[in-house]
Amino acid sequence: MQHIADELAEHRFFAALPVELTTRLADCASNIVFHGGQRLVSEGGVADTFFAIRSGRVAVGVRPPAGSLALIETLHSGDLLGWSWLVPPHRWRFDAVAIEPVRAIQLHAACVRTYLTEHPEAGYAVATGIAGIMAERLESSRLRLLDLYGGGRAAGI
Amino acid sequence: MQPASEHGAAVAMRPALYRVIEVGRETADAVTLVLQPAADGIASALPGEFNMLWASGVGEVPVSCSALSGMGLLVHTIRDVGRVTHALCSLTGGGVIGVRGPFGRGWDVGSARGKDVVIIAGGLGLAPLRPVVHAILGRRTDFGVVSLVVGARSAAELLFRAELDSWWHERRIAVRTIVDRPSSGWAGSVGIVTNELRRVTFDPGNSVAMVCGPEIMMRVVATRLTERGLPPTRTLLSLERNMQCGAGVCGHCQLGGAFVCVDGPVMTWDVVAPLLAVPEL
Ligand SMILES: Cc1cc2nc3c(=O)[nH]c(=O)nc-3n(C[C@H](O)[C@H](O)[C@H](O)COP(=O)(O)OP(=O)(O)OC[C@H]3O[C@@H](n4cnc5c(N)ncnc54)[C@H](O)[C@@H]3O)c2cc1C
Ligand code: FES
Repeated sequence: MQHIADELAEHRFFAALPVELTTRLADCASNIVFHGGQRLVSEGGVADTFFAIRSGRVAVGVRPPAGSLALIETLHSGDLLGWSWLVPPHRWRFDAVAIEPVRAIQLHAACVRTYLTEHPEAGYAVATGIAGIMAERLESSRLRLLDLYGGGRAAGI
Repeated sequence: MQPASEHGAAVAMRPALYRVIEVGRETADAVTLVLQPAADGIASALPGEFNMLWASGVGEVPVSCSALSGMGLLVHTIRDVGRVTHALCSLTGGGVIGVRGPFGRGWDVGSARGKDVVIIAGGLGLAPLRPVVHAILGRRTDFGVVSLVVGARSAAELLFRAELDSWWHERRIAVRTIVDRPSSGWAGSVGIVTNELRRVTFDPGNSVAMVCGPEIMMRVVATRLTERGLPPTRTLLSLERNMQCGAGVCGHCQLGGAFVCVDGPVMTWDVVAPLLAVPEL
């Protein structure tokens, strides 16, 4: 059976971190499986975990007061779900639901935060990685506002 | 920049008449026309080259070849965005248009032999890239891992749906589609094309990328590819500029020191990036 530290090291987000750090973070990690339709995260809930997706797809969106999930993005194998655990007040800013069976590594936020606070260099490395994800989401939102594939001669074909 | 020779330009100025033999609806505002020469046809094109299509009494616009037929037929996929494209999209079987071409410098598919190929299309950008996919599938073993990433606003705006499905099922190339605004039946990825691109693996030391879509999309995609180590000289993009002669004579398509109609439309990111960084160009 594969050790969780190895599984974590194979994940795209953690592969970019120093091996020793991934090994330490594995102490805060456990494997988890969701069935299709199961909710991983609820907007407003306490962000006490985050997930490294190993297989399957997750729908991320926001839920209007009445109505079904307004889908923003799907996350897949190799993606990291969740940054709200790092940013006070540690409440989820979105909903996430498994579209199909999902295997993930769940990281326990309090454990990770404690380690990163005690080891600022490791904290910086992880925060930089999370900032990269947030920057990408911000860019996606900006491009969507500009109607990425839309009309207008300046936009080309 | 040298204009094309006078003789070449003169030949290129004379439209050949073509008859519409098939009209296929691709999306709510795009159709594919199959054209047959009414008399003498034009020379056959290479992937990424374009023709000037002339709608009688309305005007003339550049349109890429969306498939290459060995039988003298032309295949163009056109989106209705204005006067001329509207006239072209309104054609029915038997309608006649004028065609000049082929023009431009297309995708250098040969330079991708032995390499991984990442093809990224946004919106109508799949039209000029489809001949590349056909060429690769025709000589599949000549290439390494081939990935096709297609982004569109919605599933209804994806071009060539049936063909995309069959490429996906055949699994000879890795096909990834992503839409920005999913409809209830959409089971694929949601997001923008760069979200899907990060999931594509390629060897930056031995890959070629071919990108076509709106300029803003191409800029972001090319930047991401550079960040992942792909040299800008191996990142090819198809540019769009206003065109009139199509033959390097009138200067309408000038972009910095280049004429997009003859030096492009396909150019490499190392050449294009500095030009697109100048707002007034
Ligand atoms: C090399 C090259 C290859 C091309 N290949 C294709 C192709 O395969 N299929 C295709 O449909 N088009 C293609 N185009 C774009 C096509 O040439 C233009 O859409 C066309 O010139 C518009 O002319 P029009 O008279 O219909 O619109 P116009 O009357 O000139 O414009 C009407 C309105 O449409 C807007 N508009 C114009 N062009 C575009 C555009 N491209 N996208 C969004 N809005 C626009 C204008 O801003 C204006 O508001 C290509 C262009 C180039 C340079
Ligand atoms: S120089 Fe006339 S269109 Fe390019």
